[in-house]
Amino acid sequence: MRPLEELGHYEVLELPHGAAFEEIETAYRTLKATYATNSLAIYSLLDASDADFVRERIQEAYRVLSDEEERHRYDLQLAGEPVGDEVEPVKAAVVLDRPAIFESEPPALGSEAPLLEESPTRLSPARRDEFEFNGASLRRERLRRELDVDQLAEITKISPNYLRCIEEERFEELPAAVYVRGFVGAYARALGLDAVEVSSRYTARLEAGRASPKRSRLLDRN
Amino acid sequence: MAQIGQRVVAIDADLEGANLHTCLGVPPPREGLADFVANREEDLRKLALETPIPNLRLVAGTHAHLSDAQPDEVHRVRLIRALRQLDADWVILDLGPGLQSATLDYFLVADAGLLVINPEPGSVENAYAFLRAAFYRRLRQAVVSEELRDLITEAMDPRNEEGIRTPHELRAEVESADPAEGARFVRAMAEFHPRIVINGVRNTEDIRLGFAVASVCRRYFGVEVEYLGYVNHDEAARRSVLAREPVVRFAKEADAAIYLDRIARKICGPPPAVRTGSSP
Repeated sequence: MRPLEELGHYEVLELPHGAAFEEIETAYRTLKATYATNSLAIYSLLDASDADFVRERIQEAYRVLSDEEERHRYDLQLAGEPVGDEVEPVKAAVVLDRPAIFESEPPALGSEAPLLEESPTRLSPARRDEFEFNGASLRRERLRRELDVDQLAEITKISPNYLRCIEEERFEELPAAVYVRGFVGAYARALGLDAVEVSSRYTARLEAGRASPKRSRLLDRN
Repeated sequence: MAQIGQRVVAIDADLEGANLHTCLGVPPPREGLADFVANREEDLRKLALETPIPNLRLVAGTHAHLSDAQPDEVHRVRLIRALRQLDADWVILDLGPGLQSATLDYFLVADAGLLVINPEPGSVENAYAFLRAAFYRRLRQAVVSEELRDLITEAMDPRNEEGIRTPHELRAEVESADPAEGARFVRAMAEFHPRIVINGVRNTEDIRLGFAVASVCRRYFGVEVEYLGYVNHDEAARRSVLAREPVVRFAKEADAAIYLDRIARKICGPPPAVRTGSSP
């Protein structure tokens, strides 16, 4: 990596040429947060003037690359072609073929996720029958996908409190079964699970648990 | 790592504050690394004790004399040689805090140097100070000219008289003094790949800190830092410490245990069949 003053706009935003506009937006937002005045990531390493310089370069790179015409002129300059009005701008729609450094929600830490191999969506039909779609298993699936409750709440539009109640099977704090079925379906969809199967099995547990709440809580601890 | 089938030897190399045995549920051993450092035992393999965890042995750091806590270069090299002779898939060195030569050398000699950062200013500051010291030490080892080594030593002082403020500026100085040394310097920069873990994560911002630190290191040091993962703030972790048992055994379903398992699998890499591309 060369020093910042030698980098072009794409390199400043750590993007390949031809990156889609959405990727430019994401990279800009992430870098802006990384080099913000109160950012923990630069604490003690960069002094105020260095940080100002980085922010200026990021801002300038974003100004050029986020404007279709400016970006087109810049791309022509990079290609060593004359800059004129007669050339039609090309819509950039190339998607990164490698993991982006700056992921949007949720932050991904590697794509291997070995534990994912055991996720219920990939189980054989026989194993799937054995898999119990209870609150604990839903929670495990969420953690394997590196989602916290707030992120899941943002995706499903269900309150974090209800999501926790579902995971902890606090049935008495959940609304009527018909609503819970919808909540669990949305939860399952967000994790890439079979929404119908998961919600119907969970609702069955809910109804059994409400009929005999003490027994249900004791069973959970085993 | 031991739980997923790797044969591991853990070495408590923090002789000034040895406590790894406690974390692993082993009573304070009478013998350990201190005996090797003080030449009371020649064979490090004899000091590796079994632990309650299958596949995991421990060389404890207890009973060290204060003068042995920071061994000189001869003793450091002797230890590094002995480490390579241990019969294990992985040898893990638990290093103490600080920027002592021994700590930096053990970090640099590792195939995978791992830094654990808490999402708070003091921890981030310490992490950068450590990375900076380790990085400059590695660069200093890469060049052969005494004059350039002195220049690198001087550049380690942020207020140096040469006005060299960043590794990029130092590289330019070395390259202009001697292109061959410059090439060695650049190679050392490219080969320096520390890994980081963010510990005690409470929110999305804490998770993102790892990506941000990697980005800042790329820009400032010119090195690729690998963000291995994060571990949630978890009360189960504290309880496991009180119970003197690793959280991955004490509370297998706890968030911290799940995330630690994931990091261990990342470090170990894919199973051999996948790694070699062959199948039975």
